[in-house]
Amino acid sequence: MIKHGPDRDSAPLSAEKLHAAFRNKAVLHDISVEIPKNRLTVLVGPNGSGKSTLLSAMSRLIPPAGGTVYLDSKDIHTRHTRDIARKLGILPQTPILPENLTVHDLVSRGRYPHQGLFKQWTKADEDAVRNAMEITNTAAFANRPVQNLSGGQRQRCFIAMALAQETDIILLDEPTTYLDLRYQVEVMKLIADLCQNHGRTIVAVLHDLNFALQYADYMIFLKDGKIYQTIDDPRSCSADLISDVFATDVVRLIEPQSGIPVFMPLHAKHTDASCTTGAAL
Amino acid sequence: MTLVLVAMLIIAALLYMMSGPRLITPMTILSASGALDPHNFDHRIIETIRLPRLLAAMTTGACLGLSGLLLQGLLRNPLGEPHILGLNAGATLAVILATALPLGIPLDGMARPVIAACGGGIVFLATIVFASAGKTGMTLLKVTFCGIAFSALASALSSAILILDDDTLDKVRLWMVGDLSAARIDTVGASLGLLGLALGAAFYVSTCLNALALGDDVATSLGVPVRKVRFIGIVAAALFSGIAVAIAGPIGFVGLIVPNLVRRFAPDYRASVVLSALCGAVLLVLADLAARLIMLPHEIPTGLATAFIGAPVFIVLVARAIR
Amino acid sequence: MTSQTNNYSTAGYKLFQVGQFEFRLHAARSIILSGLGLVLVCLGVFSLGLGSQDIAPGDIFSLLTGGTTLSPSDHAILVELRLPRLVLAIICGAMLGLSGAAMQSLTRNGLADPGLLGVREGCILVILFLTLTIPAMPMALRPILGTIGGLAVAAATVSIARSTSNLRFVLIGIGISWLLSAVIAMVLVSLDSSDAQPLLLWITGSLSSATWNVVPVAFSLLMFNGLLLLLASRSSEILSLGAQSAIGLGVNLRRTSIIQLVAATMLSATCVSTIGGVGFIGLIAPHMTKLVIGNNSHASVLTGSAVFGGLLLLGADTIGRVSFLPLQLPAGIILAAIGVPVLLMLLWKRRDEL
Repeated sequence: MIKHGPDRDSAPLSAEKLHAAFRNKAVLHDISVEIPKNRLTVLVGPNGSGKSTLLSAMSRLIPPAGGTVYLDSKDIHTRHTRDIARKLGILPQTPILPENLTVHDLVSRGRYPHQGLFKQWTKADEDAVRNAMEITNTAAFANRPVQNLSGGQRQRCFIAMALAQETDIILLDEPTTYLDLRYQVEVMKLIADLCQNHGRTIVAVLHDLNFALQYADYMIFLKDGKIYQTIDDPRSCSADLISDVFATDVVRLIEPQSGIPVFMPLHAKHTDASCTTGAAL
Repeated sequence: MTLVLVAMLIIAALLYMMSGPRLITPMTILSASGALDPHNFDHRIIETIRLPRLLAAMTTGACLGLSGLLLQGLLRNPLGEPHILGLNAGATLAVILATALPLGIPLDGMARPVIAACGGGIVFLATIVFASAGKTGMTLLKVTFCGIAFSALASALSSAILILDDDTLDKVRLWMVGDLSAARIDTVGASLGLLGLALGAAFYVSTCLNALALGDDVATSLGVPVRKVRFIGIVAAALFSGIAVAIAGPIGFVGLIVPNLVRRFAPDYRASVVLSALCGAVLLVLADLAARLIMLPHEIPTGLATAFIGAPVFIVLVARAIR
Repeated sequence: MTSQTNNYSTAGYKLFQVGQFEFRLHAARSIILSGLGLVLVCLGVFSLGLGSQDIAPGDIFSLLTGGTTLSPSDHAILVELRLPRLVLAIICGAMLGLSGAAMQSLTRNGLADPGLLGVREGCILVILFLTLTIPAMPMALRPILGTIGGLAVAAATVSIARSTSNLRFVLIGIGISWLLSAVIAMVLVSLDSSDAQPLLLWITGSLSSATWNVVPVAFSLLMFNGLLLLLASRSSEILSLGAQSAIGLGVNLRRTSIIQLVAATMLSATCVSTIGGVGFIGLIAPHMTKLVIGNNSHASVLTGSAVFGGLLLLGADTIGRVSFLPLQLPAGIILAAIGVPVLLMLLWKRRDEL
């Protein structure tokens, strides 16, 4: 009997009782999660909590030690890898950048799963590449080598490659690492825009908790390889939750414009009255 | 340690004298060393064939060991070796050039090792100059790779000359594959002066190598004249490898194995000069013994025997030293 | 039949459609590659005329068009000596260039070359062993069996070095090739010198004994493996972005790597069994190609490497053949003299990171 996952319209990607191991050491324990459609889901948790491993397992980069990942309610490991690549794209944390590759050619490589022996390069490929470069604002330097671009531009090029793949679901592993604050904002805005205006379902691992809160539609908190809690609205995130997940005392402040909370670690040096009132807010 | 090596050298030498297509008993060797009987066939084999070759093997082995020791110590590089760093190929090219070009240079006596040392020194200099370019300076990886590259260039030039010039090929054919069967015992005698000079330099340099092992800055602050020591050491290393090449042709890997072996037992550089010389001599005597015997009635070139041991050692060292 | 889809192009590419078959060509790159092919043809005609008996290019053309103004001896020199040598030089050069390009892409290491990694020595050893034990073995089998030796060496190098993309991998390969060379030399020493002499010449790599009867085997294996590599070229392109990106884009990692490794080794083995151990082309040709047409499409890098490989071997062989008449220098020596400076240049480029 073929097992079927959750309904593809509500959760195109989901995991059921997922276990995964890395170098014979169990990293994920019994994870069941559904990724909501057309929303930005963010995985957060301390180092070693299994964020990247969960992302890799859900994108078939590593085989699960137990449990199932469902893509469109079918087991991801029974499907042809090219079929999956037309539905689900992944941008690893540190993709390798070959020397002297132009932006246009890098983005073109995202079309691989759509090409065949007779369809070496079609009009559809051309349109997808052009479209991806327009959305990510990279068309202006299409003919420049990627290695000469700034960190933020380079990351946008890789995102453009993932977009050219024309998948409904895109998984991103720490897309803002090694970027300056300005470029982090630039990349996060782009990602949020892809969910809101371009119908993409995105799952991202983010290192920076406050960035995650600002942009996420749905948050999954991981701790010790298990799902600690999931929340639908960043505004409902409490200081207790963050303190428990990260094993650090924090204060919760409110960013006045959006009403989204911001968490600051609580230093022993500063544990005075003003901060306790902050936490009480 | 020294005594053990001396004992091993004596045993190896004895074995070397005994074995061959014709077995000679230790008693005969003893009697030959007492009073040589020109009419005894065994005595004549000892006198004309085995003893000169044994002496050549010992001298060459000691020179190669010392050259490797100096290079490894000066460059702080466990892969430092006259064969890998281009000295052997350079020395060979120099000797071949001197043979082929009508310059009227006499190629006997002292001139041969000196020319070889100059050739080796020039190629080595090119190697280190090239390898020290760039922000990272002279890394293990760059030095080794440049050495191999320059060696390849020098060898290509040597082969080109030999293919185009039959006379030179006749003169150097056996010698240039690195074979002690073509060893030139007259060169051993003529090199003694140079050998003494290089040995003196090696002893002087070895007193500073312990400090140099901690890095140039530390060595300078300990009062070591780094540039001077390095210059003298490199000249000495080039001389040693030049003498070895002049006697026996390019023989690889002895200079790689010996210092790595010696320093495992005696980390102090001062003691390691004597040890490296002894160890090199033992190793090459044994390797040449193997080369003579392993495929009887054929002999394989000595350089091949050392390559069989040396190439795996090189692979292990690369796998360990470079992450 | 060819119709260019409206006047729409980006980044120098032009789209084409032939029936079901849709593809794109980069205008500048295609022109450069065709130009290089033309240079190869011209060099070929030019070098045919050179030698101890000079023949004018006009006479060579007349041979092609059927009119015979040539003396019978000139005709024999051309057709029986120089032409097979020329054809073999181009075929073997192309094989080595392709082999190097595939090797470099597979290992993600610009210094990978079948000659530097010991793969060539592995092929030589197996073929040498076969020639000595089963002299009656058909010529066509040699490359296939040589491939096995090369693959074994490649497997050994990779398993010792673990990672393929750094210089350490190349150094370990060099160590292995030293060891194998010693074994080969040992085998040669054990032979009579009359048997060893031709084998030695073969190992050094020389085109001087080229004849027509090895051309069909070499050509068909070049075509077969070249086609295989071209078919896998898009996957290998993706592979150069790293294993994770490649899985994400739906590339079959194992199949692509195996195709590249086997094809590269077989090309190298074919070359070894036809003309012997010629080095450095696999190293130089891909870099010359990338210098001229860039690194953007693996298919054009492969094509370019094949053309440059042919140019290099033909050029080196012609120089070796005519510059010291009546003596000949093997192409391998000329190539080492060109190759080492290129090697050092590559090292110079990476001097800050090693």
